[in-house]
Amino acid sequence: MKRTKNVTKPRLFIRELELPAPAAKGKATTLAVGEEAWWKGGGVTTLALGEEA
Amino acid sequence: MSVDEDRIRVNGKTLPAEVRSVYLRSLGTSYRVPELAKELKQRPHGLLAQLDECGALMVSAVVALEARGARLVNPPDVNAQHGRKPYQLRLLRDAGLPVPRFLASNDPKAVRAFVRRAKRAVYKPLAGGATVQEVEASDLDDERLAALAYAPVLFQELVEGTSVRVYVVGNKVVAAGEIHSRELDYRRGEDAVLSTRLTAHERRAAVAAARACSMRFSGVDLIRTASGFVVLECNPSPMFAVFEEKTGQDVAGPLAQYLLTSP
Repeated sequence: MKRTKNVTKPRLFIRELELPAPAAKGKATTLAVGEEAWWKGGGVTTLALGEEA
Repeated sequence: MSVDEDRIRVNGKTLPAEVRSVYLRSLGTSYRVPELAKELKQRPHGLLAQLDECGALMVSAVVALEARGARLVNPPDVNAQHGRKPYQLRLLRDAGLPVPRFLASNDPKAVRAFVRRAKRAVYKPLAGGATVQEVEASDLDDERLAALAYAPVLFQELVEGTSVRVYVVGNKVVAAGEIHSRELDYRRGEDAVLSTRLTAHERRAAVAAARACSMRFSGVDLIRTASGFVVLECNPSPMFAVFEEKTGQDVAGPLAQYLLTSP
C-alpha cells in the first residue's frame, strides 16, 4: 500500500481554544477598573500588597 | 517577591504577620494571552516552565498566609474549580442542587449517546477559555468527533431560559441580576444587565451552591426556566465592577466588610 505523506495538524473540537485569549484591555490597577465587560477581567491584578487601593 | 521560612516579602516590604484576609483575583499568567504569543512560538518549553515557576511562588506565598491563619477569598484550590468544571458540577449535584445533565468525555460513542438523550445540547471547555456553543448535527460527524482524541469536551443538556448572576459573600446573597442576550452565551453579546429579585428558593440555592463549592465569595450562575431554575456554575473569582455600575448594586462593600471581619 502506498504510504501517504499527507500529515494533518491536530484540530481541537473547540476551535476557539486554538486562538489566543481575548486581549485584556485597561491598565492593571488595584481594583477592578477598566473592565470591558462585567464578566471579563481587563488587566486586573491582585491587590498590590502594601499599596493603597 | 521572596518567600523564606519566616517571611514573605513583596516589592521590598515584609508582609505583616497579622494579615487576616487575602482577596485573590487570579494568580499567575495564562500562556494564552496575546502578549505572549510570540514567546510561546519561540520558546514554548521555557515560557511554560517560567509561568509554572512564577505561579508556584505566588501560590506558595498565599497558602503560607493561610497556614498562619489568614482567610483567603478564595483559596487557590477553590479557585482551581474554574478549570475543573465536571468536578464542580458533581459537587453541586451531590448537594442536591438542580444541575443540567452533563458528560465530560473524549469518547465519540458516549458523546453521540448523550446528545441523543439530551435532544439539544451545548458544549464548552472543561477548563474554560472558550464560549458555549450548541451542538449541531455536523458536530457529530466522525471527523469532528475524532478531534476529541486531542482534548475532551464538556457536553451539557441545553436549558432555555434567562441567565441570572448571583453574588454570594459568606453565606449571604449580596446582589443579583438578569443578563439578557440574544446569544446562547451572553459573553458574545449582552443586551442588558438588570437587577432582579430572587425567589426564596433561588436565594437558598445560590447560597447552598457557594457553600457546596467551599467558596467564600462566588458569582453563581443560574438559568431561570419556565418551571424553576438550574444552577450552571459557581465562579470563584467573579468580576463585579461593571455589574455594579449597570445594576446599581453593591458587591464591593459587602466583600470588603467580609474581608475585614476576623475569621
